[in-house]
Amino acid sequence: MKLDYGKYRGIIVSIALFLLLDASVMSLNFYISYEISEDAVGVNIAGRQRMLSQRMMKSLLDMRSVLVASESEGADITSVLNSALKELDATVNMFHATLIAFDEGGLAPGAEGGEVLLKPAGSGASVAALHEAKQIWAPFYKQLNALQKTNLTAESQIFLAQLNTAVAYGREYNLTLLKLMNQLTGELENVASSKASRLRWIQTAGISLAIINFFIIMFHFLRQLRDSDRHIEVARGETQEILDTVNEGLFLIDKEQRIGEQCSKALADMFGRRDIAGKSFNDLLSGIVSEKDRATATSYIGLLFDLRKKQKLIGDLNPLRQVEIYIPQADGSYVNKYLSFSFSRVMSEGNIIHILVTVVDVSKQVLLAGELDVARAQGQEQLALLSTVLQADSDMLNMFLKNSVSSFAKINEILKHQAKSVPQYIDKANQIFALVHNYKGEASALNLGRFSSQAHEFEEQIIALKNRSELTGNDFLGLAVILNKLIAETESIQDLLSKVASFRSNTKTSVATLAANNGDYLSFSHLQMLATKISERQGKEVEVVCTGFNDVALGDEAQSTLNGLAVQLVRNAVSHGIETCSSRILAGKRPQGEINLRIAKRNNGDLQLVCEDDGSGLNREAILRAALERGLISGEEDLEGDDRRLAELIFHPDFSTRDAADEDAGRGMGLFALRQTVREMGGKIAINSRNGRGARFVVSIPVTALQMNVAV
Amino acid sequence: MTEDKLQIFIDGVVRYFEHTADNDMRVGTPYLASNADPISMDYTGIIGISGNNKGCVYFTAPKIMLKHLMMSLGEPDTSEANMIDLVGEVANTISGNARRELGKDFMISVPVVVSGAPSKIHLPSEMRSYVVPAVWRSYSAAVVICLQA
Repeated sequence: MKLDYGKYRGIIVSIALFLLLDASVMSLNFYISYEISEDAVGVNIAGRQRMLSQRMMKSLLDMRSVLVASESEGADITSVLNSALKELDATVNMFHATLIAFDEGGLAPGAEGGEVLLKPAGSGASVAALHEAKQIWAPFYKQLNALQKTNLTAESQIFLAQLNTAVAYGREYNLTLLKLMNQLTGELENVASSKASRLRWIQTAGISLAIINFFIIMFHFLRQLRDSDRHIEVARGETQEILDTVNEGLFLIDKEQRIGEQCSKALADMFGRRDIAGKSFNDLLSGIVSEKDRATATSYIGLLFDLRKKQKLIGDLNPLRQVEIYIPQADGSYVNKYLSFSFSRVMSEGNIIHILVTVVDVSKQVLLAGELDVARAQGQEQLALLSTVLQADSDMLNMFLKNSVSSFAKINEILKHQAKSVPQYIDKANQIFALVHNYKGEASALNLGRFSSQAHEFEEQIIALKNRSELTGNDFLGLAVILNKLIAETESIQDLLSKVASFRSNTKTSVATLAANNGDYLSFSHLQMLATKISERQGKEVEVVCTGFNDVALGDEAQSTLNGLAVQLVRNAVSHGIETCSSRILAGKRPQGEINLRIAKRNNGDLQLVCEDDGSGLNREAILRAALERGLISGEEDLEGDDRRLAELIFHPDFSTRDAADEDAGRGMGLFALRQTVREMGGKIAINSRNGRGARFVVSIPVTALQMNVAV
Repeated sequence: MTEDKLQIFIDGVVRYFEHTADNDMRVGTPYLASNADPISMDYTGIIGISGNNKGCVYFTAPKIMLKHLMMSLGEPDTSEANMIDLVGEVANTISGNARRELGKDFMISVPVVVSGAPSKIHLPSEMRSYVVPAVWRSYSAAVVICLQA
């Protein structure tokens, strides 16, 4: 990271000043200390000058007293004098050299032997003292040098005279010279002392300044730090407020795909965990999205960190644009959510330093979209239903719907009644089949193709069920599902019709009016339609002649029941009785077959429904053959003349003379269904058949059953 | 609601009863019941479902059956609390099975056990439910599935 020097200029200057101050104090200290040590040498040497002046005087006086003593005693004193002269010479030379060095600067003999460098004395007093000393010393030095040069043995008198002169000069100036050397020493001491004192001042001032500087730095920067901390705290507080308030999940990912330390609070709710900061992104996704999505997300983020890849181009590759996540709960269950992740590069100086991840919970939108799709599909479904039913006769449609509802309720009751053995399950399937078959017939008669094909599908399922070797309650699940579907569609139509009816409330033909109609006469023209439709499919022509339908006033339920029976009878007659046009011509009949359908009220109150056709009649051989093939009778069984047994066969649920089933016939369930309905009402069926001339079905229903139905 | 999906919920119950000593649970013939008059027995474990299909699935059973079931599972303590736990466990097994099979399209809640029938919130009265009897020994419980298409 680049350092912002502007921000730190103050502290840098202060620290530099502090260091400069310390360095200056230190160098001054070093310099002055050095000078003081030099001055101390000077003081020492100057002190030695005092001692040397006295030693010279003492040597002179000693020599003279030796000489005087030798004259009276006559002893040989040469060696003693020579040694005294030698010492004097050393003393004189040392004094002289030192004095010159003090005056002009230069080398002087040191205290410890060797030499020391002296600077010329600088202060006025010492210069004056030196000047005066030099004036006194110069003649004295000459005298002493002359003494040295005089031959002691040859010129003893001259030596004595010179010695006396020197002693006399020395006596005169000895004290002055001592005083001057004292002055020099004192002056040098003063200089050294003043330097030491200066040094103390400098040190004190330097340290004081350093302390002041330190406090300035401390107070100034503490304040600055405090301000800066406060700003950081405020900024952090604001960031935290944003992160706590924002509805989106926000976090940063670094190059190692690790989540940053700051995350928005919403994330905790989205992911159901709080330990997100600092975690690896891969770990966050672990267990909540599919392994495939997780792997793709990791490589996608890798691509995002690659500066050469254009973000716009790879944006479409985002595998987490809308992803369903499963969040494990404490109790082991899961909560599902739809989350949308978006990724943005965070750039700094041309480099991608982080990826900003924004997560939005889009569960509501996704579910809403799903609901809209369902609603749209339902709308289309209803439209299709409406187009199916609008073509039907409204009276008949209403009756059909009521019949349907009642049939479905019966089917459900049959399902509800629990069976325990396979035969019971088969019986259950047969009962349901009969009801569905009736329903199919009615739907087909009204040309409600959608319902008849659904009923056909229902039948297929029941047949498939019956063909299973093992049968359990669970196998009936499919029937319950299709029943539910039929009920739902029927309800949907009723709902639609009642809405339509509300717009047509005043018209005579309205469904609402019809629904309230009781005891009205119904047109059974749909039976002709049914017969025509079936016969056309089978290459036949049929006329249905209805009589007596308007002679008997019936309640809604009775009408429905009668209609159901009539439909089954007509279907059966067209499919199994009436021959094809060509066969009829060959048999010398009119190409168009005829079905007579009559309703009559008998004296005992029973209602009689007769269906008579001019077809081929029951084909005994074909019935026996089919019954044999289907295992309903054994080969040895002799049914010759046993019409009752033959009738039982054709009413058996597994009986059919057709090889393949279609929408019209083929499962043999039509007559079974007919018999079921009649039995339920306590009625009976009689059959007459003449080979090649036709068959007649007579259905008698007791009046009590019809009254009950009317009452219902 | 397709047959396959309904079967998943039935399988959940079958799976639970596989733990019983005799493993003699029979599924009865499923039928329909109006939510206006819901099928309920003494204790009912409900799982709420949302997502592509909304509604609930519940397992309802009489006390006596639960008591015997517990004994068959080797649990001597047949207290009410344990019965409630047992119903919850069955519901949880149904839920687990469904989650495994239908995870993508379904959001399935944590099971809740109540006495009697589920509330109207779970069972919209204008809808029908599939009732699947679960017969164990001589007792009959039921799995009831009420889901919008």
